[in-house]
Amino acid sequence: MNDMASIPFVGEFRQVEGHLPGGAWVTKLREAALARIGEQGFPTRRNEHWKYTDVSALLKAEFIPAPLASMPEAFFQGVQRFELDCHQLVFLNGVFRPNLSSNSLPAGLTVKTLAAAIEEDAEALQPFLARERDSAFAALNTAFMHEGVLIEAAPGTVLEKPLHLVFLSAAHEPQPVVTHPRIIVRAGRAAALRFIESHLGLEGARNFTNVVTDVLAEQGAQVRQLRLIEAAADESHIANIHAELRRDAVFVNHQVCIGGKLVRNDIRVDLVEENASVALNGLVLANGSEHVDNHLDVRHMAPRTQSDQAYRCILDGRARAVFNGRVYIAPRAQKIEANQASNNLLLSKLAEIDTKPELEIYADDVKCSHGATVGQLDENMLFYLRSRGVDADTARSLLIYAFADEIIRRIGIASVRAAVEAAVLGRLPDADSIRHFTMEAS
Amino acid sequence: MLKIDNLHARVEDKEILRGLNLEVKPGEVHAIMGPNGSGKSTLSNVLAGRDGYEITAGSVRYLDKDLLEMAPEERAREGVFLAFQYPVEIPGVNNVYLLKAGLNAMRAHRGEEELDAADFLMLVREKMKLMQMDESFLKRGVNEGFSGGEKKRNEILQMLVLEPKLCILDETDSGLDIDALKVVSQGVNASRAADRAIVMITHYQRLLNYVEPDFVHVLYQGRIIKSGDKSLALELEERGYEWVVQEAAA
Repeated sequence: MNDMASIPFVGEFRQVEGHLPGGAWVTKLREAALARIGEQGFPTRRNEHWKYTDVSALLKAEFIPAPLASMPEAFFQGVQRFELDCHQLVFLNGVFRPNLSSNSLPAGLTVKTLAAAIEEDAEALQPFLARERDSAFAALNTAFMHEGVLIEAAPGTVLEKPLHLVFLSAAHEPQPVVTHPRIIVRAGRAAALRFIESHLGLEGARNFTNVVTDVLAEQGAQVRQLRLIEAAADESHIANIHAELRRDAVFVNHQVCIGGKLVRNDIRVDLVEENASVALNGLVLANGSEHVDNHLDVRHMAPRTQSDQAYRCILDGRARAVFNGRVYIAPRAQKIEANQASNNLLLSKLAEIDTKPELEIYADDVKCSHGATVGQLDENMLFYLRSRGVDADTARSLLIYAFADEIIRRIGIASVRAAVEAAVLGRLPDADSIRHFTMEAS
Repeated sequence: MLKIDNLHARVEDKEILRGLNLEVKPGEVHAIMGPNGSGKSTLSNVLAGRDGYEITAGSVRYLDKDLLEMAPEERAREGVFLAFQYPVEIPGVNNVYLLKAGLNAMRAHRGEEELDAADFLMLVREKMKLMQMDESFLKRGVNEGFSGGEKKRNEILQMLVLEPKLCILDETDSGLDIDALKVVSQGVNASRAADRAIVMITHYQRLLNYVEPDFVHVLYQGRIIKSGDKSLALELEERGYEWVVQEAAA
């Protein structure tokens, strides 16, 4: 085993452990996670799944763990841009802020901060906390997990309003902050819930957010998740998401990634019983030298399960994006339908997309499709719009927006869709002149 | 209104227009006919300002301004309209909002106030009725999923709403069945006005049965080699282009 103190992040564990929640069982879990990192280390570009995403600079950077960082309350005055009609939980640099959160929750829904849930009964969460994950960053989260959310919907509970988890990241000096939020969502039989996870980087933030999320959808449950990652230009965000779907369960995940120095999301979905279905939609906007990597891994373990992956990237400057979409179909998992589409728009010569489908099919009665496109703005479309009196910049923005809108329009909740539209428009020039062109406006 | 003088244009290394002359006055309807490869589409693209054409000689004056110096959107705002031979589909961009943006850009250019939503919708509905287009067009993306005939009708609808001064119709009759041709022709005839000129570029004479031109020109190898009145179109229909070519060579 390496000298633990010399491994990135791990060295700070002894300073922080006194601040972390949980009894002996959790401590054992944390130590095991540290040992795993010590043995296997962090991924390098020699690892096939990290070939295009280099974490070496992130590992060299110095961060202060969230429990040790201080953050004057005044700092967050005026941060009020997430006014959705939702039950809301707000975290500032990884620390839960009850004063910014709403507390009236409907019957059948339990929401606890992770710290409270761990203190109460960590072992009840064993299937989630102790889940095997092939990721050093997920292990790092397990070792340091401090704050987060446990959401439990009792059988049959149908949540009218979505839950909104807001993770605000603000500049912290001299050292930026590393946070390890942990989110656990358990939807009982026939329960239905929607939650939004917003990761908003405020200007100047250089923080690192390392999220782990678990979703369990019991028979007939429906879970819809929107992850909105609006990272500041110097921020890093790594997420490891695992969803398990039982019979007839539905999981829909939308990811909207706007910027970030390094963003990497791994989403694994296990369709473990018949007729479970998943839709993974993604939109990536990156500019400058931003880097966004999405790795999807859908595993059809049971017959008659369905999956749909639709990702779109819009890249400008020297930005780089990665899309890796894996679909695994187990032997005897017959009557499967699996679709995958990766469409990419490159707005500059130096932008780069690496898109890779990975299909592993061990059953013979399956319907699978996959397709990838990489292109520039269509000159014929631009000319057509200009020939009708639309100026060149507006025409460009309009076409970029229309490309993005193919994903945005899949977002079911109107107010959330509008918020995402606004966030995307905010990145485009001539936003005001194109707002009226969208289908939504009609 | 439009004066094309000795226009030479090339695409990559190929010279397509080789000394084209044409003068169009307000109120006139011109038909430009010619065999395939004579430069018909190049002419309409050059007039509308599409990239990829190099003007090597000559000039185009429009309302006493240098048309070739203007960006495509400036030309549109000054009243030049091209009805495309192959209108492009633009999913996600609403048909009617494009129309509204175009119209308001033109009005702003002329120093007029924007049309409010209700007046605009009334105007569009009235023109849609003329073009026999149903309400669903209001909701759809630009040409998205339209049939060939619907696309052509949509072009003429745009022309009716935008009320340009110079209308260039590029092979608007191609791919239309007889009923659609009648509807499209109705739209074009409704556009005829004393202060508006129409240039129809066409391979066949059948559109001219419905929209009677004042002048007919034969375009061949990048030049107009013969001009006449509408009887020339009928003669071309009957005898083909060969005799005109031989006559011009003699």
